[in-house]
Amino acid sequence: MTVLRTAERVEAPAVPQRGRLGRDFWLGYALTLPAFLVVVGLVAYPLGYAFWLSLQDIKVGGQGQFIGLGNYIRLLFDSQSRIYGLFWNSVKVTALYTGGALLGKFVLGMLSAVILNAQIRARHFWRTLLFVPWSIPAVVSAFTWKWIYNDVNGVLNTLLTNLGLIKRPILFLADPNLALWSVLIAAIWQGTPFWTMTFLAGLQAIPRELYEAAAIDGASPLQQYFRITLPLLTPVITVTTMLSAIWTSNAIQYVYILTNGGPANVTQTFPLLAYHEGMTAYDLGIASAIPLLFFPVFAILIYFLTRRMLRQEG
Amino acid sequence: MAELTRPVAQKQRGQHDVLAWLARRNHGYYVLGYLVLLILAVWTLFPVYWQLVTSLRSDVDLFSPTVTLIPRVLTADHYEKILGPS
Repeated sequence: MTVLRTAERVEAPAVPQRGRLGRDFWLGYALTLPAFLVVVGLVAYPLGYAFWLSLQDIKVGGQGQFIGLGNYIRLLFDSQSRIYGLFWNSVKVTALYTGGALLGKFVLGMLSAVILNAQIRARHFWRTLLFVPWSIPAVVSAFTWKWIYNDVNGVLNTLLTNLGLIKRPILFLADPNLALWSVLIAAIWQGTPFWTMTFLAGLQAIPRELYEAAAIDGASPLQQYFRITLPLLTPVITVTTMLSAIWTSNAIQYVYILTNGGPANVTQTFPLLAYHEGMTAYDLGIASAIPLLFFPVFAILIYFLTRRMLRQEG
Repeated sequence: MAELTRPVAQKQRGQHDVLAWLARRNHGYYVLGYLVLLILAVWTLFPVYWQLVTSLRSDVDLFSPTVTLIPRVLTADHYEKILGPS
């Protein structure tokens, strides 16, 4: 039996306004205070301090000497200095590493999500299975991959040799041509479940009727995919790509544990370079300047990300 | 009255049955779908399996020139070292 409902209008109680929060405006500030303190203490202060360090010529345990933008100039323009070469190499490596990882995770994530979205038997079982890599700490799986890639006792080399594909073991992590690929594969292995998860959620939000209507009109599954699925997934893809780009380029677990910068710096992404300069060369000024040079890129990404997310909320 | 006429076997919203459609067209695609799923599962779980197995291998088996998928000698030595009396 259908029930007819009349819309009820509720009048907002009249309250003296102070700004836009009403009489309890101070409560808003009080509740925000803990979050504000966390942001200031854990984000603003370290950032500000890092910026201050980057303006000095300072070694660990030593006295700092203010040199203004000297570190930045040396990193960006001083082609004679060692650090210039290292910095621009890290730009290239970071771009390759992040780009490759995003591509791999996108493809594998999309593939996994499309399959998991289908009516296969025990799909909850398969979904749980495919999410396992994400639940393992990165450091732990990095060591596992290091052991898999090992040229003496590693299972990958053994497998390839037993299959007759190679005669001598491949130096996955020591060959400058292969090192970045090896690290990429390990990073993709771990990061894909996040993409699978978000794509799956996005796929499930697409109403079936759209596909049915398209099928009635004679659309092939490929056409359905490109004309219905992808366009409707675009917001999900955008947000996931931005998040993953930030996380991947900032991550040092895999590059540090697998190759520690790689043979001849082929796997030295910018956070790893900053770590090496700060902790092994003890040059804090340069070490602080390197990530700050990448900061504008991330700031722009995050700006667009939050703008898009806030727009979708409203 | 739309709420009363819900079909009995209604799939959940959003479940686009790629594999069933493919199966109706060509049984091969159905197999392909499962094959891809299997490959993905192996790719996903092999490092986890390897990690587990490595933790249970004895040192002799770990550093022997031949590597086997299933350990020849299982041991709890490594766990003992971590969890036991120091």
